[in-house]
Amino acid sequence: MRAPLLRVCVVAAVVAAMTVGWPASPGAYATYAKWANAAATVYISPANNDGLSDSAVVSALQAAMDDWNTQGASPFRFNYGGQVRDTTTGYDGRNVVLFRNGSDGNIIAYTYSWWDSSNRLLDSDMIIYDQTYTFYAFDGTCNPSPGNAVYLHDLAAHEFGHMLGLSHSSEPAATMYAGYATCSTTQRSLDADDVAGIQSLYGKSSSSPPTNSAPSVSISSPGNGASYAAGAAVVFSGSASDPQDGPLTSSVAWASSIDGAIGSGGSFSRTLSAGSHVITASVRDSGGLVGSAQIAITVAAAPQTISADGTMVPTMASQIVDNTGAVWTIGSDGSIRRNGTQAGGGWGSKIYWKNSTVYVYGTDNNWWQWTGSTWTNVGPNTPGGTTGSGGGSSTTSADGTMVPTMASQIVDNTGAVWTIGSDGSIRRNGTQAGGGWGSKIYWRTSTIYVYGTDNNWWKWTGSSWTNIGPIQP
Amino acid sequence: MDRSRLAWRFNRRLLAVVACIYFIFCSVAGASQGRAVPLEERARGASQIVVATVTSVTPRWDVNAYGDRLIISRLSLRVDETLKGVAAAAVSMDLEGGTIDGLTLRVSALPALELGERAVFFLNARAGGVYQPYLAGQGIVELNDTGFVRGSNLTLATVRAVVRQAFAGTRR
Repeated sequence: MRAPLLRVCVVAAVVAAMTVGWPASPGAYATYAKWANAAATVYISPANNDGLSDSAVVSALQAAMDDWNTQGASPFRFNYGGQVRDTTTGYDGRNVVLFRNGSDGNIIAYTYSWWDSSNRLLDSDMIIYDQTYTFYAFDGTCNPSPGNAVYLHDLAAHEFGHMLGLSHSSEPAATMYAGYATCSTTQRSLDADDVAGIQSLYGKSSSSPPTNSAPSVSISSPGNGASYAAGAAVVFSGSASDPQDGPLTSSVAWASSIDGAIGSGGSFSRTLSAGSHVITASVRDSGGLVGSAQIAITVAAAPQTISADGTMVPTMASQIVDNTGAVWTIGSDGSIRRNGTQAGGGWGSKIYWKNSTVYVYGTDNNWWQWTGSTWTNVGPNTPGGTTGSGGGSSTTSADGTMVPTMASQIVDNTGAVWTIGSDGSIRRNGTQAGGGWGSKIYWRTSTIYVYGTDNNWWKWTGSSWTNIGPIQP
Repeated sequence: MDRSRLAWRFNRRLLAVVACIYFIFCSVAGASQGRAVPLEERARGASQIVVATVTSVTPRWDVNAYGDRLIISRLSLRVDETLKGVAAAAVSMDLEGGTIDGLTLRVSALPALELGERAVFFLNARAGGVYQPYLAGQGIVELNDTGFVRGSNLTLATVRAVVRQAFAGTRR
């Protein structure tokens, strides 16, 4: 039986090779770019699908950063910048780790790295997919039986290797090797190949670092949970000290999860954008360790004046404020933004506020109506008018125009389109106006009249109808 | 040899195969960015499998399904051989990453393919006739100039045979 057993083992080995291939050469690290200042500040968006607390996520990820800071024996340092609430990645100059309730094949995590033509890293974000995999933050808690369990510390150690500029290594023992066994805790221990990789980018530490401990930071103002009116100056004050370096208050850096860097030092004041801010005060000591403190504050939105009916962006204004207070703008990339965020994936060149409705002239040369959550195509004609091509102006009907004898519709001097419905309803921009019914619409001296079912003429006042008798105006 | 002894011997062989595969795989089970999927499984899952050469790379700014604004490259592939799916002389594929005006984006689990590079592409169709790699980076098996899978001693001929065998199995 030994020969057949050997054969089946060989067959199995070939099958395995078809999965992973045989490394053709000895294992070695690979690099693609580096941070110019040998440091990267990392923000963490800890919301996840596995019930891990914010502090557990931050702790596991900081441990992974420290793996490279301490075992790498190089000047490179990861610094923790604080918590944020990002849900997307992009080139924004801020390094973020975030979880995504999604799945992309068998992917556990991606690292998106941006660099310039000199191979200087500019931005790097880590996306962790937690729809398929279950992540664990505390040692000894991992449940391997489903086969999809991952220690966040070890996964992040690998991804932080990408974030500092390393590609995959072909050394199977390396943290940067593309292989993770369920519940493995091996990647948190850097291999000699990983150390050679980071040192090839950033050099070696000049000497063994002395024992160092992180600085402590406290925030005395504002208080956690404080609220402010729009435009109010918020006074920030705090202090920092370090067991080795002494007072570090003057070096404290302040950041907002919405506005980014907002100030430095022990005290300053500043107005903030509306919204719920997570304020992080952080400081780094001479040994590269970071201490931080956080509070949450809220700044109310400023009251907005609703845009005038017929306002067009960009020809008449730079933004539109709708009747919910939402602010509509066109981004530099052509995206249609509601309160700064692209609305319903919309793109276009114009925003039109008409009849309490937001319209956008899309890249397909059609107007799209905002329904509150998405866009509906309403065709090429300017809403509330008769002209096409998104001109934004309507052709007012000639004085004395009568529907239906002279025209099928009337456009009044506000651009509103008047028609008679098949049921006899009098319609303004497709909606029955003031409960009106009639058989004729008459446009005379800039006024809309309707010949009602009671054989009287009725005058439109802007919101309702007034009976002016049986004689034609 | 009687029938019962034959069955016992067969079962022992089966157990041996399973055991060998398990012990070979257990040391590499899972990849840091995802479980390493056998070629046969990739072949069964992909709708189109081609051996092709990159003839153009056109990067653009675009937004992916998650709302990430990224550089995404459209690759034109000259098909040298169709292993599965509808035969075509060329296909297009979108891949996150690329370079625009000196700014480069690279995604850790995806290869950065360049002009002239040759690979076995396991693809799935998207709207508009553009493909994307099946199982992200595992859907692109890069080949070197001598017909080997890059970084391994696996040949294109072996990949071709595995794919065809898997496809034949599917058809049965």
